[in-house]
Amino acid sequence: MASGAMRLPGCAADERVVVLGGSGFVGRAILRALAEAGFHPVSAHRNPRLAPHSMGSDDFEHQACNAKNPEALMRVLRGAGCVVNAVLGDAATMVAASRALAEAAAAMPACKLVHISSMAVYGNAGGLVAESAPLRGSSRYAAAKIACEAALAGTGAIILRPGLVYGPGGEQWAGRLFRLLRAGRLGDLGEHGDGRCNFVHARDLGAAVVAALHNPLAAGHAINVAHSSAPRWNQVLLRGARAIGAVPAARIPGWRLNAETRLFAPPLYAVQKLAGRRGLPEPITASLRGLFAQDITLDHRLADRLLGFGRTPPLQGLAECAGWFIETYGIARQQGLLF
Amino acid sequence: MIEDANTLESGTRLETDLCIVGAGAAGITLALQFEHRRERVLLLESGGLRPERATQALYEGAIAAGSPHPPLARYRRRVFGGSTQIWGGRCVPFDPIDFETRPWAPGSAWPFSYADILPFYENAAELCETGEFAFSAPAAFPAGMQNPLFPSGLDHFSETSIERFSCPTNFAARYGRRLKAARNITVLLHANATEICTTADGSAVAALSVKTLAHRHLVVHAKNTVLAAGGLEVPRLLLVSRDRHPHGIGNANDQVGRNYMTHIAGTIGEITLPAGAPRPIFYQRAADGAYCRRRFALTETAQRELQVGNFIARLHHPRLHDPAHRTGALSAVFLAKPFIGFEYASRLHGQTRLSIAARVAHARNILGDLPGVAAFAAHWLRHRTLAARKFPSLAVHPRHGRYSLDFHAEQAPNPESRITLTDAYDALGLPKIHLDWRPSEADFRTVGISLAALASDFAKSRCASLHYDPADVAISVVRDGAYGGHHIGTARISLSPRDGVVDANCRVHGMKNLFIAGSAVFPSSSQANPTLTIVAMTLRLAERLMQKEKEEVLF
Repeated sequence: MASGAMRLPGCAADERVVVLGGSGFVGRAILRALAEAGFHPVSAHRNPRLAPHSMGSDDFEHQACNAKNPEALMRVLRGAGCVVNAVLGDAATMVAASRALAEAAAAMPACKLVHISSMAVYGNAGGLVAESAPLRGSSRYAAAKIACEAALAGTGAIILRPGLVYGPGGEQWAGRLFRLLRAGRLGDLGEHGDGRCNFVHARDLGAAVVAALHNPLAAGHAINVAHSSAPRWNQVLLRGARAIGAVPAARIPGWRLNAETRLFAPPLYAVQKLAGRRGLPEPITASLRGLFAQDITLDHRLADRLLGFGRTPPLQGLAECAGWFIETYGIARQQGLLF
Repeated sequence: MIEDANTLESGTRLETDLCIVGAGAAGITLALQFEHRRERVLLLESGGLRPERATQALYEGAIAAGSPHPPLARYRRRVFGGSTQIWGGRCVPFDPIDFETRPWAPGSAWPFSYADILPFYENAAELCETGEFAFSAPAAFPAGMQNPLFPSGLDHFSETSIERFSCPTNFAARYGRRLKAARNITVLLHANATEICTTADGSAVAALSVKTLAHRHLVVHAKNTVLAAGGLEVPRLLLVSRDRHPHGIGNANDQVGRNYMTHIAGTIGEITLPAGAPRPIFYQRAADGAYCRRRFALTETAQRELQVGNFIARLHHPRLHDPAHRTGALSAVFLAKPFIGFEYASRLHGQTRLSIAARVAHARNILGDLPGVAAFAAHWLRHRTLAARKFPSLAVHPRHGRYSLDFHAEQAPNPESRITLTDAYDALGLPKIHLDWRPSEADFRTVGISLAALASDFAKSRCASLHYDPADVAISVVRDGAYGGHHIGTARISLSPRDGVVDANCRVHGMKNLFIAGSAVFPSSSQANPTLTIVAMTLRLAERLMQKEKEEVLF
C-alpha cells in the first residue's frame, strides 16, 4: 500500500498525462479533453492492437501497458506529470490496477493522480448525496469501485465519482437505451421510472479531469461529477424515444418489467457473458431496473467549488446522442394507433 | 412513510409544519412538492390502502327531492388516492375566457387571469401523466392529426382543440412509493378530520380534531393546514367547525357550500356523415404516448357573440339502448351493464329499462356481428384491460353510420345550488350533507344555443349533418343525472369575503393558516374536466406556501 505522499500543485499545460484505460469510451473522452486543454495525452491500454480501431480518428500516443503490474506502470509513467486511472474491466482487474497504481505512485510522488470512480459506490442511497455519504454499494462493480478508492487512499489522488457517463458513441448509456426504446421494451416506466438520471456527458467528465489537474486544492478530495439538475428517468426515456422517432412512446406496465428482469434477463445475461452479444436482445437487468427507480441526486456543490467545469444539460446531451444513434443505426419505425 | 391512525393511542398529539386533509389528486400533489424538503408534512387520509365499505359510507348524505344528482357516495372514493382510483383520465385545461369577467355570466370571474395558472399546467400534465401540455392538434401533432371529419373554418367552433387522457393515473399507486420513501412526509391512513379548532380570536387554526372509525381521537397541531378533501367534504368540514365561528369557518357571509357546480353534459341527436366520407377517428396517440381526441370547442369569440357559457362537443357512438345501431359490440356492452361499475354504466346506458323485444334485438345484433364483437373484445383486452396506458373509452363505429353528439358545457354559478348540513349524523358524529344541485336557465341556454350553432356550422361546411330535437335539450341535460365526480365551486375564490370563501392564494378569508386545494375553490366550471386544473392550482398553492415560508418564516 502506498504511503501518504504529498502531491504537487496543478500540472503544467503541456505536461505528459497518461490515461490508463485510454481505449475505452470514458478514456477516449478524457484523452480528447486533455489534448484540447494543451496537455500531451498518452493512451495506455492492455492490448495495443485494439488501439487504432477504438481510437477512431484521434491521434494520440499509445503505450501498451498491463495496468495490474506496478513495474509496467512505472515504465509508462516515467516522465509523466499526471496519470488518470480510467481502467474498466472485471472487478479483479479494476482493483488490481488501482493497487498497482498506488504502489507506482508511492515511488513517483511528483506524479499527480486522478482516479475515475463511480456513483455506484453510494449503493441504493436516496435523496441528495454528498461525497461524505457512506459507501454502501454492494454490487460486484460497486464493491470493486469502493476497493479501488480504498487502495488509493492516502496517495493524494483526486477521486472523481461521476454519474452515468454518456455521450455520442457511448454504447452503455446511449446505444443500449436507444435500442431498448426502439424495441418498445423501454418507454414511460410510470412509478418504476421516477428515479433520477445522473447523466454526465463524457465531454464534461473530460473537462472535470482537466480542471482537477489544474487545481492543487482538489488533491485528496473525492468529488461527485454530475449535472446540477438530474431529470427523472421517465423524462429522459420519453425524450429519448421522441428523439429517435420511437413513438408513440410505450408505457411499460410493471408486469412487463417483472418479466424482463426476472424471466428474460438472467438467461440473456448468462448467454452474453459466455458468447458475447451476437445480435441477442439486451437484458434489462434487475440492477438497471433498480437504477431507474433510484431517487438519488449527486450533490454537485463540491465540484462547483473545486472544479467549476462547464456541464451539458442532460436532455441536450441526449439529443446529441440521438443524432449519433440515428446516424449509426437508422431511425425507428414509427407506430401509431388510430381507432 | 405511511402509517395507520388506528395504531396510535387516543389522545396522541401530532406536530407538523403542514397538515393536508385528503390524499386524492390535490393532497398527494401538494405533499409531493415538499418531498425531500425540510418541512414536515402530515397527509391525513380517511380511508386505507383499499376501499372499505364503512369508510365509504361516511360520504352518504341526502339529495334534494327530485334532483337528478347521483348518490353522494358515488363518483368519489374515500381511500388513499381518492377519486383518482376511479376517474376516467380526461385532461383539459381551462380556457383564458373562463377567468375573465363575462357580463353574461355573473359571478364567474376569477381574481386572476389564465396567465397566472398557465406556468403550472405543464407540471400538472406531467403529474397526471397526460403527456405534454399541448392541447391543440397542431401543437400535439406537428405532422398533422388524422381526422377527416373536422374541416377548418367553422364559424363558431374550433376544430383544433383536443383533449388528452391520463393512463388514468391512480395517484396512490403512482406516487405512493415516493410518499412512503420521503422521510419528511407521513401519510396517516384512517384519519378523519372532524373539526377545525381555531385560536381564541378565531383568526387561525389552532388544532385539527381527527377521529378514526375505531374510536381513536387524535389532535394535529400544524403551522399550516390545507383542506384537500374534495368539493363536497371541504364545505362540510368548514360548516361543522363552529367553535368560534357560529356559522362555520369562512362562512360569515353565508358563502360556504353555495354555487355548487358540476358540468352540463349529455348525449343528443344524430350525426350523419356525407356519403363516401371516410370513417372518423376517435382517438390518436401523441408521440408522448397519450391518447388524444379532437372535439368541437365553441370559440371565445362565439361565446362573446352568443353570450353563452363554455361548451364543447364530441362525436359519440349512438345511445346504446336502441338496438337500431345494429352494432354487435355496442349491444354487447349494453347487455353487459350489470358487470360494469356504477360510475361507468350510468354514463354509458343511463337509466333505461329495456323491453324483451329490444333485448332480443340486441342479441340479434351480437349474433349478426360476431367478428365485430370479437375484434372489439380483443382490442379492449389488449389496449384497455392489459395496458398500463389504457384506451380511454368505448369507441365503436356504428354499422348504420349514424353517430350521436356528446356535449360537455359549463354550469354557471348559482347561489341556490348548494350544500348544507342535515340533522342526520355519520358514524363519526359529523352532520351529513344535503345537496341541492340546480342547473339554471343560463345552462340550458348555453347548451341550446351552442347546439344550434354547431348544427349550423355543420350544415354550412357540409362536413356532417346534425339533427336533434331542440325540445330534447333539457331532457338530455338531466337524463343521465348531474355529471358525477365534478364537485366545483363550494368554497370559491373571491377578492372579498362577501363573494366567496378563499382569497386569490386559496387562503380562507380571515384565516392566517388555513388553505383549500381542489375544485371547491373554482369560481367557474369551464367546459373542462377539473382534475388537470385541480393539480395545476395545487402546484400554484404549493408555491404560495413555500413563498409564505420564506416571507413569514412560519414553518
